[in-house]
Amino acid sequence: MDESHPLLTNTQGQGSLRAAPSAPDYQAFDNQGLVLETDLTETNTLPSDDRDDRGVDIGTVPGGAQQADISTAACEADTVSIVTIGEEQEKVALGGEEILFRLRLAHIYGDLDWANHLRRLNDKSREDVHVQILDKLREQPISIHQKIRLSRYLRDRMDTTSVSSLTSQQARKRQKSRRSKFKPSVGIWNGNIGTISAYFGSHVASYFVFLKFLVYLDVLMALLLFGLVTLPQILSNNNAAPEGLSGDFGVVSTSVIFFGAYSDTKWGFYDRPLAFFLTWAAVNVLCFLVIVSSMYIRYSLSKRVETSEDEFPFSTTVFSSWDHALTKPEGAGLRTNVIITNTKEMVREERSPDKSTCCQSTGQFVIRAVVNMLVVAVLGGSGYLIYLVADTWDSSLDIPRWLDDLLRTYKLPLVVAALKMFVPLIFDQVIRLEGYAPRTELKVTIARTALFYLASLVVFLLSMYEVSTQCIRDVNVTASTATKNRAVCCWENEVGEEVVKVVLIDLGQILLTTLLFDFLRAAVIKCGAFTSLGYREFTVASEVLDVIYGQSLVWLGLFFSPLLAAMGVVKLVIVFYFRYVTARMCKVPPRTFFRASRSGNFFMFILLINFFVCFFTMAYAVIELKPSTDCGPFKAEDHVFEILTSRVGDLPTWIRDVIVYVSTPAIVIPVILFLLLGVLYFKAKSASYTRVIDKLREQLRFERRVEKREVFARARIIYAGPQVSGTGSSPRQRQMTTVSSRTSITDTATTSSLSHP
Amino acid sequence: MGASQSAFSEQELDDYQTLTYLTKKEILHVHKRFATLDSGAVGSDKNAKLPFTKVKELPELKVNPFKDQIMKVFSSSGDGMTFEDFLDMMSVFSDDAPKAVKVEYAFRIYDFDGDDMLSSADLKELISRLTGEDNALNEEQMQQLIDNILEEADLDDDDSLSFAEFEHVISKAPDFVSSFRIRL
Repeated sequence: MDESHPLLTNTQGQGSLRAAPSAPDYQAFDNQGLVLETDLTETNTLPSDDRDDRGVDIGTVPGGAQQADISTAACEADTVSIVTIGEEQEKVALGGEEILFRLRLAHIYGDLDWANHLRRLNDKSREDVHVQILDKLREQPISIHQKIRLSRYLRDRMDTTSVSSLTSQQARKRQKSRRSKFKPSVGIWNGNIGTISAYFGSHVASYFVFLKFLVYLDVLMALLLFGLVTLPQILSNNNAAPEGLSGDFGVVSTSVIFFGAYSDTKWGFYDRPLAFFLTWAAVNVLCFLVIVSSMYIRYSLSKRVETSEDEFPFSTTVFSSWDHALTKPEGAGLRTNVIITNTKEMVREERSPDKSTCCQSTGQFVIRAVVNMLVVAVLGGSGYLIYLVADTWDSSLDIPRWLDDLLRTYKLPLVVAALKMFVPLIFDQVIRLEGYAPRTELKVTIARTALFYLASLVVFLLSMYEVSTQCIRDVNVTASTATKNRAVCCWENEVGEEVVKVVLIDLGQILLTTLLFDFLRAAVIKCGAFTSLGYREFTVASEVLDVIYGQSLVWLGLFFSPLLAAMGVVKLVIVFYFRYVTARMCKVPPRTFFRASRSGNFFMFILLINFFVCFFTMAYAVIELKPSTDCGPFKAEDHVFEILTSRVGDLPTWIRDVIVYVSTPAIVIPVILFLLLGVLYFKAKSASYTRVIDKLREQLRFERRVEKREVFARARIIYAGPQVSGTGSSPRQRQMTTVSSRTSITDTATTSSLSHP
Repeated sequence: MGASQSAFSEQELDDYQTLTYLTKKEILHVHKRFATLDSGAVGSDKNAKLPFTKVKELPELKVNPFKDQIMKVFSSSGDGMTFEDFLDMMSVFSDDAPKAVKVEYAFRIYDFDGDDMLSSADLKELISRLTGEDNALNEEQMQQLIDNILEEADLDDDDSLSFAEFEHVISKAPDFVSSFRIRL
C-alpha cells in the first residue's frame, strides 16, 4: 500500500487515536489500531503465518520495518483508551460485514490479514461468511488484485455446490441488470456522438442523441406507411390520379408521393382507402406511445435521483461539474471556463442577493407586461401575415416572369421560413429587457419560440386549406352552369405540395444560415480578422426547437403526402452530418449549463406538445373537412372517417342506437362533470401529498443538522479525555477502533431521535 | 484482439468479469488500450507496471485535472499502474458501476492528502484544479466558496467533510453519475 500515508510517519499524532500504540504487546498489526484480543496474549513474535496452510502467499501485513516505526513512534496521549477498549473486545471472530468493512479502509489503515481472520471462523458460520463476502465482493472499493486473491481463496474453501449456485446467481443478476437498462450503444452514429461529447460535453451531445431518436421514429413511420399504403398502390399499377391534375412539381405531383395518386378502390382483397386511413391513424398512435413511454422512463429514472429543489448548489457544482468524458484539450479548456464563470456567478449571487425596491419591482412588472403583449402581437401578426400571403399575391412588382412564377409558387413557404428566421431573434433580444434570472430567461425564450413555431404551422395549414378549397367553391358555382371541363380540384394535393415545399425550404434555410453565419465567421476568424468576435456558441435549445419544428411539419403533412416521413429521415440525416461538421469546425460549447439530466425530458415534453397540436389539427381536418371529390382514396365519402362505416359495413342497429344515444347531451354533460370531479379530487390529493413531502423534508433537514450534531457531540463525549476537541480523526476511524462503540453510537442515535418529536 | 485474448486464461477473464463491471469484450478492449501505452513492456509481461508518466499519455486522462490523483488512488503499489489497476479504474468509471462505488472512489480522489477527510486544504486544491492553474478565483471568492460548501455539507462542525457527509451531499447530485464516467 502507499508507504507515505500520514499515520506511519506521524510521530506527533494529531489525535491520540491516530498514532499507533507503542506498547510492544500489540503484535498483530492489522488495520493499525485494531487489535484482536487473542493476539494480545501471544508472545512477542510477528504473526509468521503469512503463508497459508497451502503455502499460498496471502495478504501481507506491513512488514518488519513498519513494526519498528510503530514501536518507536512515541505516543503522547493516551493509548490507555485503546488498551482498555481492546481488552473489552469480544473474543469472537470477525463476521463477513466486518471483514469487508476493514478491507474497505485498508487503503488508509494498513492491510488486513484476512486469511487469519477467516481461519478463526468456526465451521458453522464459515460457509455463511464466505458466501456473504463473495456476494458483495464486486462492490467493494478494493483493488482487483486483492479481490481475485480473496475470491480464489474463498472459493477453494467452499464446497462446489455453493460456489456454483453463487456464481449462477450472480450471473443471473448481472444479466437482469444489463437487460433492464436499454443500452443505446446499439445503433447508428455512436462514434460521432462520442466525439461530440469528448469535445463539447454531454449537454451538447444530448442534442445529437435527440436527433437520433427522431430518426428512428421517422424510419418507423416511413416503413409502416410505405409498406402498407404506398407499396400496394405501386404494385397495383393503376394511377388513380385524375387527369388534368396539375401541381407545382410537374410529373411528381401526380406520383405516389402525394395524396392524389391513391385510388379509392379495393385491390383484390386489400382495401386500399381503409388501409390508408387506418395506417395513418396507427402511425400517429404509435408515435404518441413511443414518445410518452420514453418520457415516462426518463422521468422515473430522474425522479429517483433528484430532489425537487437544488439543495446543495455549491457542493454539487464543485464535486460533480467536471465531466470526465471530455478528452480533448480544447473541450477541457472550455469546460474549465464554464466552471469558472458558473462559480463566480454563484458566489456573486450569494453575496448580494437581489434587493429591489418597490418602484423597481413595479417597473419591472410593467416592462414584463408590455413585453408579453408585444410577443402576443408578434404572434398574431405573423399568423395574419401568413394568412394574407396565402390568400393573395400582389404581383404588381416589376420583376421578370420567371421570378414572379417562382415567388408565386413558393410564396407561402418563403414567408413561413422568413418568419421562422426573424421572430426568434426578436424574442431573444426582447427577453433581455425583462430581467429574469438566466435559467428562467432560457425557459421563457424556449417556450415563446416553441409557441411561435406551432402557431405558424397551424395557421399555415389552415390557410392552405382555405385557399385550396376556393376551387371547390368555384366548382360549385360553375357546376350550375354545367360546364364539362372544369378544373380538377384536389385540395389535399395542394396542401401536401405546400408542406413538401416548406420542408425543402426549411432544409435550405438551415444549410444557408449555417453556411453564412457559422462558416463565414469561422473563416474570418481563422484568417485573423475580427478575432475578438469569437466563435458562435452551440445553443442547444434553439437547435432542438428547429428539429422539433421539422418533425411537426412531417406530422402535419403525413396525411397528405405519405412519403413525407421518408423525406423527414433524409432531411434529419443531412442535418445531423451538417451540424456535426459545423460543431467540430466552427463552434464553441455553450456558456450556460442547462442541466444535462433535465434537458432530455424537457425536449421530449416540447415534442409531445407539438405532437398533440399537430394531431388535433389533423383530427379536425379528418373529421370536419370534406375530402375532394376528384382525387384521393376518399372521394366517395363525405367525411374521411366514414370510410370506416362504409367499408366495415353498417353497424348492427343496437350499436348504432347506443352510439347515437351516447353522443346526446344527456350523457355527455354528466360524463364531463364526472371527469372534472375526478380531476379535482386528484388535484386535492396531490396537493396534500406535496404538503406532507415538504414537512418530511423539513424534518429531514432538521434531523441532518441539529440531530446529527447532537449525536456527534455525544459520541465525542464517549471518547472523552483528550479528545474533547474532536478534530483530526475521521468518524470512520473512530468507528474502527472500537467495535463495541458502534453499538453505543447507534444507541445514542436512537435515543436522541426518539426524544425528539 | 486475438493477441490480447491469448494473454489471459479463461479463468482469469472469468474472474475479471465477475469482479468488475465490464464485459469480457470491454476487458479485452481495455487491455488493448493499455498495451498501446507501452506495447513492448506490456507485450512481454502482462503484469508489467507502467510508470505514471506513461499512463498520463492516455487521451482520456491527459486533460483530466485530477489525473495524478486518479492514478494514485487506483495504483496498488504507489509508483505505477499495472493492467489490473487500470482495469479497476475503467471498471469504476464505467457505465455499469453503481453509484456507491463511484462515490467511494470520488471521495478518495478528492482527498488529496489521504487522511480520509476532505479538509479545507483539500477543497481548496480541488477548486483550484477545477478552475485551471492560473488563479481564476481570487482568495476571497475561493474562501467564500469553501465556506459555503462546508456550511452545506459539514454536519459535525469540524471544518472538514467525512465520507458520510460527502456521500450524503453527492448522492443527491443528479449529474454525478453521468459526469463520473469514462468510455474507452
